[in-house]
Amino acid sequence: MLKSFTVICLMVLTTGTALGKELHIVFDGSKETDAWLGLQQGIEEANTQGKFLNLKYIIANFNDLASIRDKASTIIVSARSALRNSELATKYPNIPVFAVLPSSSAQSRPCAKNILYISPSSQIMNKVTTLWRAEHPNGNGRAQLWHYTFRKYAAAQLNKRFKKTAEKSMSDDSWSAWAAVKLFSDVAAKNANPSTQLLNPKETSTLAFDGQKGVDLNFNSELELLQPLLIVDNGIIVSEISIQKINTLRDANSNCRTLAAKN
Amino acid sequence: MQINKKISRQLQLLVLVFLYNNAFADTGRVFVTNERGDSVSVLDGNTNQVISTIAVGKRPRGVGISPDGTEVYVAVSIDNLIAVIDPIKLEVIRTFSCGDDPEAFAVHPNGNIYISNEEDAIASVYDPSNGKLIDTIEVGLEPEGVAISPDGTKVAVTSESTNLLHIIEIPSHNILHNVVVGARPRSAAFSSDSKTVYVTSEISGEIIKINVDSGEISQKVSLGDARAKPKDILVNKDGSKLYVAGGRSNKIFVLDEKELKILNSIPVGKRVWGLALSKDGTVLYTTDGVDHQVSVIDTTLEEVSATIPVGKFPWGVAIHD
Repeated sequence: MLKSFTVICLMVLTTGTALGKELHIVFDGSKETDAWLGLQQGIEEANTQGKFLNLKYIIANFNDLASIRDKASTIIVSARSALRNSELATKYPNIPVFAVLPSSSAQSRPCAKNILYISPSSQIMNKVTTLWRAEHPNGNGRAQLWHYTFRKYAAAQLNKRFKKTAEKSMSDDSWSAWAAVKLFSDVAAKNANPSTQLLNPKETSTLAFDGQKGVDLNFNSELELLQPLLIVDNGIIVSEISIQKINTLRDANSNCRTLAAKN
Repeated sequence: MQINKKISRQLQLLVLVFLYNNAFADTGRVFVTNERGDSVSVLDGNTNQVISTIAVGKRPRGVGISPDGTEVYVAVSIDNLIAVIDPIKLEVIRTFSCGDDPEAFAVHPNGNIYISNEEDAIASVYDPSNGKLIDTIEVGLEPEGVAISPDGTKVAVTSESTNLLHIIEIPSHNILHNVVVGARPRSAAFSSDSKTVYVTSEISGEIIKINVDSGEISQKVSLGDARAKPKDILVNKDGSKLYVAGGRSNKIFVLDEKELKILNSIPVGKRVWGLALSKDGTVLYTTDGVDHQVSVIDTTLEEVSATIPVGKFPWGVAIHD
């Protein structure tokens, strides 16, 4: 009797059940990048939340994917090329792939139901820059996702936390990877199967994700995260461009929009 | 002879009560923290005039009053301290350190202060009489709103970046419930019977009603206004209505407590965050940050009766009544 009890206890400990539910994050990219640092920040913060909810976020390797039984609690964060994202999406159709680097354009993006774009395309970023410069002929501002001097909407606190752990300032890529994990943990806090939820367009289009940009963020039909952008000129934030304004610059004929319309 | 002694003792007690009440009489003054003015504006509640501006240190935010009314506390965020103001003399009488980046706090009926320390992800408990730290409680990232139940048995703390409301027992300081709420919960308020706690979620624009014993969300409502980023929340005197500061919607929302239906919205100044209700429930003060003013609302008419210019970016407000 005692023996069986001991065995059960050991099983509980080794499987981690007693420690709460495990959620897996696979990173595809170089560990020398800002994206990797942002991902780590995201995981640290997700675990701060997780300890109150009995959830534990773990970095997993691709090799581990086959052995992870709970695919509904797994995501891939990709800091690779559009082609690689496409391969991942095809190989793991039931796992959300968060693309954290900007692709060149919406047209060049692979369209898949499981690729979620955190960053707008470089084309959109350039269009926002061009628009701002047209309105400010003497300025050299450039559109960015994030800036280390951003203070509003508790951005200052995030910048401070990141600098403390990463020992460098938060960049577009680190914010993007942080946001992917934060988004996952926000959904996991409310749903037993967060990855399944993230593959549901109804869910992704109605998220009220707090990216510390002052508004609730969600994905459009092309699975791109709609978000305000910052204009940074000579190291200073000179303007914030709203989601509504950015939406007027979108290409109506992108591949993904056509696919979304078909679906 | 014995009767005389008894009468004498009762008289002595009456004199003491009289002296106490007169020494610490409620002034009706309104204390407003000016986040970027590094000061506290003091308003006369009768004339709606600023009668004093007190320098307190960098980035004052939360403000509260001791249960006996003898002291006003101000969380000075950048200086990492609580400034204690004499509400009669209107001067800072002492300060004490209170951990990193104190933001909001609540005063327990026993006089202790429960503070959210934003950068440390903790709530800390201080005895303001000697500035001693009594306890720290680990909470989620960026804790902000703090509310103490009227019966003094629970404290609710919101964690803005982890979307949690922590319901914590007093005096054990054990966490009773971690409730997942909408994005960026900022403030909380208890019902007068301490059985319900209400939370505002700024980014999701929601008001959430939670059963304190079970930790379950019983109702929630979206304010249905894209600009409505709710911050402070208060329950009216008879418990039938909730007042919600609507942030960038520049409105105070009045909700029915039972159904969480929006009954009215009262236009005020820009980026309204702070709220304080007079003890008799007839006057509601709001801090309109971007307009650098306080709005005074007649709660019977649900109309603004006055606006008072104060310091830069008013944040918190408390009434000495």
